[in-house]
Amino acid sequence: MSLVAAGSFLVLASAKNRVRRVVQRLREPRYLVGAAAMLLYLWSLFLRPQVRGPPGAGAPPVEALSQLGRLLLEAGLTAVGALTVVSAWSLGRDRLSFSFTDAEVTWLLSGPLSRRAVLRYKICVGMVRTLLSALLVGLLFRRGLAARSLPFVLATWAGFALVWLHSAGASLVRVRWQASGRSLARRALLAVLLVAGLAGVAALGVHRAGPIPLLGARAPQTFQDVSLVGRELVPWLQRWAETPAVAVLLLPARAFFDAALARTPAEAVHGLLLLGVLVFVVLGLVLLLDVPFEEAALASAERRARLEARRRRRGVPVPRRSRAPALGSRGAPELALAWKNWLALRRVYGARLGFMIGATALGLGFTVWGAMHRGGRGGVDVGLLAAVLAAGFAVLTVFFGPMTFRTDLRADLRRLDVLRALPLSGAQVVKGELLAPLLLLGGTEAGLLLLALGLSATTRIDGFGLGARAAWTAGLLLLLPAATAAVLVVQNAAALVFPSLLVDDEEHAPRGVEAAGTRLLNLAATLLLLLAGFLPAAGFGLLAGGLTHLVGLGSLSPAVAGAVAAAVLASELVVVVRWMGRGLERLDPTTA
Amino acid sequence: MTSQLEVRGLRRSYGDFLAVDGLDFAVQPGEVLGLVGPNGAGKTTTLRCLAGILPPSGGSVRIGGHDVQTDPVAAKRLLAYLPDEPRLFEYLTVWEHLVFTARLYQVGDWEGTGRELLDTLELSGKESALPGELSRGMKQKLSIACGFLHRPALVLLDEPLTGLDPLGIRRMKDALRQRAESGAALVLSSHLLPLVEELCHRVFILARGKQAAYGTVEEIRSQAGAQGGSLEDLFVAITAPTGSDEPR
Repeated sequence: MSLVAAGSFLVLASAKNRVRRVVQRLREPRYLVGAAAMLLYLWSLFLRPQVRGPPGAGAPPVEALSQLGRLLLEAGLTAVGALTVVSAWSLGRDRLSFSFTDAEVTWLLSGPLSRRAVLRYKICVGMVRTLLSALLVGLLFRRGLAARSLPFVLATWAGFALVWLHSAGASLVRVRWQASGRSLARRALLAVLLVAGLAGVAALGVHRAGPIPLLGARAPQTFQDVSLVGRELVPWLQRWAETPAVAVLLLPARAFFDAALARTPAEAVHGLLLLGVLVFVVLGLVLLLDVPFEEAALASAERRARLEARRRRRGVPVPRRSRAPALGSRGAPELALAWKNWLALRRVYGARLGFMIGATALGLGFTVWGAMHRGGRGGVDVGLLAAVLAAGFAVLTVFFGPMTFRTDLRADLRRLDVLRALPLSGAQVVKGELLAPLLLLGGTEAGLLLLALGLSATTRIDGFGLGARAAWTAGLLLLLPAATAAVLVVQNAAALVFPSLLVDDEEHAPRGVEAAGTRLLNLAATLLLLLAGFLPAAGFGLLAGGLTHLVGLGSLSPAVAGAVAAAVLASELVVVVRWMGRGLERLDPTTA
Repeated sequence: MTSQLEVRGLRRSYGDFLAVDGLDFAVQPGEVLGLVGPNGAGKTTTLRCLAGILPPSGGSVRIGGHDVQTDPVAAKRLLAYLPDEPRLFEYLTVWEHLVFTARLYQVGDWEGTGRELLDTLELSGKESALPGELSRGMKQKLSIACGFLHRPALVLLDEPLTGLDPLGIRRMKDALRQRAESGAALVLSSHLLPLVEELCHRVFILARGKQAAYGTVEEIRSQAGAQGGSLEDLFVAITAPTGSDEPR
């Protein structure tokens, strides 16, 4: 009883403290507004009352399933269940399926508790978690699937609980097998027995149901053939499913769907009773096990700590090293930050960058290959197609590049005390931090634009000659990097304004509805700010382009427009970077 | 002699909570000042204010004559701040940390000094290691090597011996002494009172954000009216709760 009380206290106190932390955070207006925005969004997505259509139109699709559809669902779920059972007993390593935290190892394993009591505690926690998962599934799918929410959630919970308990039991038995040194042989034997048993049940069903119709006949060619197969196969499948052995195998899945899709309380109770019995049988079997799992628990805690550390250090290269470019000790000191970030880009994003370049090359290659094959018949210009793709990638880089490559202030604000102790002004720090990603992304864009121009050079396009394309390329060569700088600056400025939310610090990043809502609002604000910054640039650019056209230099107008728009954007950015520098100097590391 | 560090009426609050209140002290070139106090006394806040990381709520901090608030870049060029937890860049190797520091502080011909520092701090052979491959003590040593590379006039150290092995502690003490002998001013915060007594010329005892005692150990002893005893005895006598909110 004391463990139940202590375990309940642990779970409830942790939950209470989480709620208290959220409430404390909601005292800050930005989180309060964020929470309201996110709740409104979630309500509109999942909870908003449905607009009622004509009678009968609102029936959930699964509820109105045909017998065949229901049978296929049951067979599918049974197959997934069988796969889970086989894999739990035979695949992977011999280790616990449930993990322990360091604190649990310290407090529970060294505490005055029996092994079974610790197991009961872990099972209780597991059941609470499966209930929460079932509630989430119910919230997400209740509209589309079930007529009644409660039986659906309870059936889902029972399903999750069965899987959890079975996996826990199997892992405990395997831990014991491993200790005896006979795990491999037993796992192999059990896998063979399980697969043979399943195949035997299926074969017995086939034997009882009679020969499979149309077996050995030629593959259906026409709609009539398909219809014929369907007419004969469906009744056979139903007969097969009703044979005693197969019916027993399908029983859990049938009970699940009986409860989850119940239209009446009686149907729900019938299905839930059967599921409940199954859960209690498996629970009893797990509790009967007396496996010394302490060593496995310790290993699971260490594994969990390692995974957690890896998650926190996501993107940190442990083994990769690359040659660093030379950096002299004299010159602009902020270039040290740019140099550091350049190295980080190579080392942190090297693999990702290689993957992106590979994927881009593969995409371009496939497109070109496809076009060449069609080219013989349809006359598609391969070079032009590749040029359009390259230019498209260049434009996409403006928006997706700064989101992907975050080696700038967003990564370093978690070391604000280090930045603040450097002998640099705030503006110098901001400039140094932004330079490396800007060089990488601007260089990529320039490369892609020049590639596009080169690829399209031999193609003749009426009304868009090579000269015009060169003028557009020149304009974009200036405009795209300036636009990329704007996106980078806005995202970094947002991190300065909301350091606790947007800084890349996995360890201390706030989670929850209020944090997610604030991020949602931040995204909207970022888009608005970008629009506000781009509008004057676009206006001046268009004006300059128009004037160039009027004075008879129409062919140069795209280049002039691009140059003017880039200059306007750049001047806006200079002001914003100074403002960011002052903000950085004033930012309090204790509240950031 | 001009003070390397001059602190006047330093005050720092977090909302309604006054973490540091009215601190006055100065550190001369070649002097080592020990900053001690119970947990939560305001030592780290004080060091962060001195390093220009936290803006003070009141008072002033001058390093080599430069005000940290009005002329921060010039002041920070003279400074090395070594926090209790080494804050390194995960993707720079040991040697690249030195390259980075040399550029930031514009240190010419630094390679020889860098190698010497790595030797002294037993980091030779680890030049191409990333911080993830170093033990906590080694990270601490790397942080110290970076801090010493530009020959700072003022070194602020927050618990500098945490994570070091006995040999590392001895070498670190020697390195700190040498820094002081070469004219640098040092402020070190530590709970290791025997170390403070051994290394520091003067001691500043903080309690609940206020100055509880300041001077040489002898002066503090006479202020406290004690006949003998170690710094530890004095510390306990001065900072132990007396029923009143005010430190003695």
